[in-house]
Amino acid sequence: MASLVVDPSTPSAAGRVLDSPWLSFTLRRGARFLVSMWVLVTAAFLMMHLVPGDPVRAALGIDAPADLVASRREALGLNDPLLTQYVDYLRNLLSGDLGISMGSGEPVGTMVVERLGSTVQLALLAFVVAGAIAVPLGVAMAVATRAGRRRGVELVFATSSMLAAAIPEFLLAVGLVYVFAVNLAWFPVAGAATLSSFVLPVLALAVGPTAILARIARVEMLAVLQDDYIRTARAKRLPARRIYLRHALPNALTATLTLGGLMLTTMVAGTVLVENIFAWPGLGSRIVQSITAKDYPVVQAIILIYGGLVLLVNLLVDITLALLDPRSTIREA
Amino acid sequence: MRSKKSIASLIATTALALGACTSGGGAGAGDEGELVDGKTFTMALGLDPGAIDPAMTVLSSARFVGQFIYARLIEPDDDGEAMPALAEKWKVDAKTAVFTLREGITCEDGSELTATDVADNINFIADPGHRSPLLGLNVQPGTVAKADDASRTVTVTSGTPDSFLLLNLGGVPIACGNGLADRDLLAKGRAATGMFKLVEAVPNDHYTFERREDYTWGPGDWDPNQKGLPDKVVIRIIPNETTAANLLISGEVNAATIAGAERDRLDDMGLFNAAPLTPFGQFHFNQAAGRPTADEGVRRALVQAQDLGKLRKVLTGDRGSVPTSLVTMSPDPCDINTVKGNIPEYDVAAANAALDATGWTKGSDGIRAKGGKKLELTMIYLNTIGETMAATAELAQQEWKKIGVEVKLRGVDLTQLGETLFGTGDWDISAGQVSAGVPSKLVPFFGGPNPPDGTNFAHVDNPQYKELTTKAATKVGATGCEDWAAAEVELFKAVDVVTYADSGFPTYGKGARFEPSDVGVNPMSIRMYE
Repeated sequence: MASLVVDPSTPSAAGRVLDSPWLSFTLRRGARFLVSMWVLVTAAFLMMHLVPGDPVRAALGIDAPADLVASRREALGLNDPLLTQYVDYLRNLLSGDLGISMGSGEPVGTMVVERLGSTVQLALLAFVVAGAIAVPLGVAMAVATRAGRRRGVELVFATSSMLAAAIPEFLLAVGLVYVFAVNLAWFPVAGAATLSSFVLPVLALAVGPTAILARIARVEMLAVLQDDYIRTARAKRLPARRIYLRHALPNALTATLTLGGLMLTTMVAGTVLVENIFAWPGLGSRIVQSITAKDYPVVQAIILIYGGLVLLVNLLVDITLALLDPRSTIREA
Repeated sequence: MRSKKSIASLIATTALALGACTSGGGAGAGDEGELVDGKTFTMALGLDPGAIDPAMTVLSSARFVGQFIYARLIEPDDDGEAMPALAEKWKVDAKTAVFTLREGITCEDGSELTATDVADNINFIADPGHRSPLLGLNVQPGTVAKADDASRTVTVTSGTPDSFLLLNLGGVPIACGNGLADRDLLAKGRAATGMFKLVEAVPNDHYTFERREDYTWGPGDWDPNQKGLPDKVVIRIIPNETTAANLLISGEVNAATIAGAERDRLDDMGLFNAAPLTPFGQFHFNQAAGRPTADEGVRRALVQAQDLGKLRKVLTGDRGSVPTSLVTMSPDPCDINTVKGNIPEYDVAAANAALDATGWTKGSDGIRAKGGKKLELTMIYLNTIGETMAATAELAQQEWKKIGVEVKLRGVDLTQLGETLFGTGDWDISAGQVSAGVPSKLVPFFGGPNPPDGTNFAHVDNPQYKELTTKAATKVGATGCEDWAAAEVELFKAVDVVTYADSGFPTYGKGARFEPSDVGVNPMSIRMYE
């Protein structure tokens, strides 16, 4: 009969999990995420409550009777001390209640659900387009210009990508509308009614990041192409396609995709401007209207969603990085 | 349709004064082709209407949407004369109005609109407990409406005499009985009595209306079978004015109100536009106790120091016109020039002399002082209606400094303007606008109680104005116009208010023609073209 011998120097399964750098990593990142969200929630609350202007007056009209304004403020709890309002806000938030829009009277949660999809769709599509164009372009440029070859191509690429990256989304969007919607009438000026409606807003969001990402992909690829193992592969006379796609590309992609992921956060933020120019029915266009109208619940909810999306993307990038390069996780632990 | 700038301006104007309708007509070439049936009229609106309940809002965007849904008892024509709408006839004096409804008026659900429903609409507003912002404007406190369904008559006894009782009561948007029983329906734009019914509402995105086939009670001899009426209306919420202009040029919308720089582009294209005239350049002076501007001499000097023609050019980009009255908007039943010759003329020497006479003497720094207190004033202006307002304020500030008055400028948004005027009272000069469609609606602002009990935000106490308006209020309609005009002249003579620029806020059209209303486009006037 076999007897179970426990070696005290060997950690148990539970102990192994507890000691795992992955657990520590996950807990650390989770805690950081939660603290960041709390800071975000608090900042959103304070920003809206400390700016001058009465949201009830804004909602009811400039000459609404004073007693009507007063009673509405009372009903909304706006006469309570700021701390009480803050605690109520946190309590409602934790129970999933984002409040009611002061302007339209609609539940903010419903509005967010209706509009979030449009914003995420726009940002993700722009991200996919940027990745799909930037990576092949960057790789192709690296291959074409490696070891100082084709200086002219390199100059054109460097200049054009720098210019594309430097144009603000707002200006680019206005220019795209003027040329392709107003003058050529190829695409709609605004709205999201048809598939063609996506083209201009997605381009406006994607052009800058595409240029930046293509430059990064090229630099990364050039660095990999100088590695010894690539030289060895060439010496073995492996086909060029195999060297570039099988051996070089995966190693060049790590940093590119990481930065690309972070770029998604800028695209999410960029939707605010782009949505307003294209009257896109997302959260970005709504937040501008709500700030003007001092519609606290809506602004707070949208800031929360935008901030949450950015934090979430950062978290996912961290996790992806850890998966791709576990040593960094362990080192940090 | 309406840009943020124009909305802000119109709210500043009409929310303060709640004018009924603006005047003005179509302009521009706009070769539109043939009238065509069955089309959809699409319009860009700068602000979401929010809750639409017509008795509970004065926001111009809500009133704009509401006018598609809720008909009124009468509609004013271009001359301010009443035309039949829901009411086919009426009998009115300054205290009582008897309206007889047309036969066969139906609600959007097919039920009949009764005289009782109409009376309930008015009584709801008249009840102070409901806190309707239309109380005191369209309906006077203490008003009682009684209905006789058999004869389809509504008898309204006004709480106080009202010269323009017909226009004021007749301008109340009327909702159907089911909406009165459940006001949530009204907030969502249901219980329609008007030309359209709301079939889809996506807040802050778009609102879709369908024309009611049974609607036959358009103003005057309006014909439901005439060519060119739209079958559908789509209001798209487009806050960005450039986007709205682009949508118009590309033909994706048929109408958009453009107040800013984009006007040049649209004018160059020769697009049709309807431009209601609204007041744009005004000065109001805080006359509350202790304020330097409570002194008529100081007010007069402040106005004499300004070249108002120059200010008008800067403010309106040389597109403005010289006002003729504080009542600029339709129905404007009086149309008498009260401004000419009654505003202090530009005379810097006289301004200096006036200030000297009031005891404000120049110090070594060039700023006047009295009793050790410097003549430092605060001017508030709307910073949301275009960059020209700030430029005009700065120009005025420079001119005032030349006569030794230090003016601090404070740009505010609409909400802050309201809070300052009706709340804190911390201002000396306001560039916010007040106007109305009938002179009686100015009385609360220049002769009524001060905030918080009323809307006389400048603390104007002008006995002549009160006397003349009281006298005018006993006369019915246009018969009191001379008295109303004389009362307004007293405001200018006492420098209680100065008006120096009117400006049009055009709604441009493409593929459609229309007449302006006080909040944009008159729904019954829309005609679609091929």
